[in-house]
Amino acid sequence: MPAITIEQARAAKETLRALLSEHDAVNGIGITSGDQGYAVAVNLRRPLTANEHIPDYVDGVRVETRIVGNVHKLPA
Amino acid sequence: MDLNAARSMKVEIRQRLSSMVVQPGIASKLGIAARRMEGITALRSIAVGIGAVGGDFKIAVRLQHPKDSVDDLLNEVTRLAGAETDIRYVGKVSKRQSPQQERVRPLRIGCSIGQFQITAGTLGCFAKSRTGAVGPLILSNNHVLADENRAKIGDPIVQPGAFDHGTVPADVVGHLVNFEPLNTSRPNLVDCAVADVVTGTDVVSNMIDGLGPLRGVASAEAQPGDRVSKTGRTTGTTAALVTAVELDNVVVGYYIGDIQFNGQIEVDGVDLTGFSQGGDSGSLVVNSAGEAIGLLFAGSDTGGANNFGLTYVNPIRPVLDALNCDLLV
Repeated sequence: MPAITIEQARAAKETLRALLSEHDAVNGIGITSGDQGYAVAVNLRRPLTANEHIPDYVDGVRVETRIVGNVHKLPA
Repeated sequence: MDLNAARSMKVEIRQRLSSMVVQPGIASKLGIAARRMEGITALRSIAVGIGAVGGDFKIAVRLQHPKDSVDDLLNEVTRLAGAETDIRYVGKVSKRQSPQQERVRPLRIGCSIGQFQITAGTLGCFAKSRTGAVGPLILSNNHVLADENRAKIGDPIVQPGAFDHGTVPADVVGHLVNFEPLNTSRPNLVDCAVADVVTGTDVVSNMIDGLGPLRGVASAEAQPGDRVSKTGRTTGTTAALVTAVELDNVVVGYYIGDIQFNGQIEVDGVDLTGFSQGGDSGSLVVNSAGEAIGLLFAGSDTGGANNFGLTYVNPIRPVLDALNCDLLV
């Protein structure tokens, strides 16, 4: 199976971004590296509930979700 | 006293001192506000441990105040442990301040800085205007040099930042000259600003303490897996791996409201202390060749391999384009 290119990952990211644009648990959608080339990273503020679902793959591109909490600026 | 007896005695002494310190009469002698007196944590000026002398164990008591200010407590320790007590006055124990938080002349990449009304951030690097204006510029975040849009052009910039005791006029090193406004109603790409440097203040523009020479802007975009580093006001020199790029829809909490960022770089520290903490905002992030890849501006609560949280970085080219300047190396 050929490695996923960054162009494939970008396309999958845009698809997922449109799907998740109103999802209040999502705090970032980007491109990361996976076992098979590039993948899509989805950052979450909180764990998903039983009724919420983010696909593991979009157009053959792996989707990796991770909980990062809230993001804040970093002054002293 | 053998070790087990010393341990038991130590526990008994700590419990006894805790019970005593919540009594108003003794609490006032420690000079600590009564509202903060909560059990053992209130015993901030007395450390109780176990010391060894030639194979014999004693109760070790270390005082931050002169002995006469806590006589009641010491009398109780002596009553409980008798001659098996080693009492010493060690003075105030304080956190060691990082060199980046001190007053630094000439100005250097990575030191504490800020608009005079904010706490403190990091001097990212130096830049030069594309419009031909003479003189180096200080590059950092909007929220460090322009107080989240609330500063006025010309406001004084102090080094170290106010949180590190920088004051006006003694520590003024420059004045705000330009910033990219943070926008709460549409996606942002950068959190950045520049200040000029007052005449007579020298700068070291081409060297990053702990990392070596700054070699300009990276020719290629950062990629997942790239190793990067920074030197910042709080955590000093640290390293990380890029974990995501082209990160969109990142909502960052500011005083002026939640602000969305697109096109960001995410990194995860490889050190046991994490890559960044509060005060590192504005740090220049460089790749393994010493080339700038971005400007650190935010961090997450959790996440990353060590769960210290992830760090977010503005890509450097949009930063320089927004401020119409280039790196000064």
